[in-house]
Amino acid sequence: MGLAYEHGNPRRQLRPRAGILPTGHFLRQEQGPMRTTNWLLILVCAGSLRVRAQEFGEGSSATAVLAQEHAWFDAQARSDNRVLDRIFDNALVYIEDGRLVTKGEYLSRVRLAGSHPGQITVETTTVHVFAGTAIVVGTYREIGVKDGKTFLRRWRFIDTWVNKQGSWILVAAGAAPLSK
Amino acid sequence: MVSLNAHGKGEVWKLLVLLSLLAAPRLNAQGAPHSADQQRILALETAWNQAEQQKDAAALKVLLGPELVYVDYDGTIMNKAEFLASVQSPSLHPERIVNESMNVQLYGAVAVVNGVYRESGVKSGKPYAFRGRFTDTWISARESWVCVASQSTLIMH
Repeated sequence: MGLAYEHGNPRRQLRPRAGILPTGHFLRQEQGPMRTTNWLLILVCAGSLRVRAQEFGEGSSATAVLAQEHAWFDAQARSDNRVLDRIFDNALVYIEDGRLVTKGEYLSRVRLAGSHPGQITVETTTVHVFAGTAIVVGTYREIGVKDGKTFLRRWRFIDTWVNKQGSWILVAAGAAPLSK
Repeated sequence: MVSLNAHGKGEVWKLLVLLSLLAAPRLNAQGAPHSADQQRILALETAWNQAEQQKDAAALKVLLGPELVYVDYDGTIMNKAEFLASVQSPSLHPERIVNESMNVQLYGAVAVVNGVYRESGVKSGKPYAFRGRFTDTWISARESWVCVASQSTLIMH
């Protein structure tokens, strides 16, 4: 039914994924108890695109979806809500720590908080392409500072993109902490 | 899509038909009536809960796409086979899985459902109970809908 494309080797720098997850992290900073005091840097690591199944149409869809994730990251880093507004569907379902964040809330926080660099390293990314739909799943590592102490956490993320009139739009996103 | 034995298939469709008939007209978050597809997907979500509660792998096979990506609240990722195996684990005995709220957003042949569920039961001899938020992505396939991605996170507050 669908095809899967993997990003593996994290030594090669490419991956634009950080947009979603640093944002989630940033949002948690604003409201959650895990308050990180200093965002320093966003590291984006990714690997070469390994295509399990060969089909040009699906492959180009995976590339386009990854480009959108890159655009998300870029816009997030620049607090460019105009771009984010185009990337996110109006009915975006964004889940952070069991809480639903609407598009309006998300953009509002970006606008209020400005740029807060953090340190995020994406470890793996896989894109599953279906007709008109793409599921991006992967893991990332987050290094931050809480109460003066450095912490390391790993997360699993999953995003859903839908092709609307030729453009890939983010309709759902979320991450779960990895317990091991 | 997925092969089922006659017995399992009959039970599955009986369950789905029953749920469809019982599904009263609902309103979505905006107060507008749900479309037929939205109501059908809501019924499928309920069927999923019942199948999981009854450890009915045959029913789950119908509901889940072959390339399912399932991310559990602890970050565990599973494919369809792994998820079905986890549901049938002898140490897991879910007694109650209910959705408290659901919202369906349709994008043509794609539907995104988000909602809150409550689950309780016994795992490895110990009772458990939690509340979580889920996001499921369904795609239309051969006049039916199958779930291709699912994620849940615990609600801590």
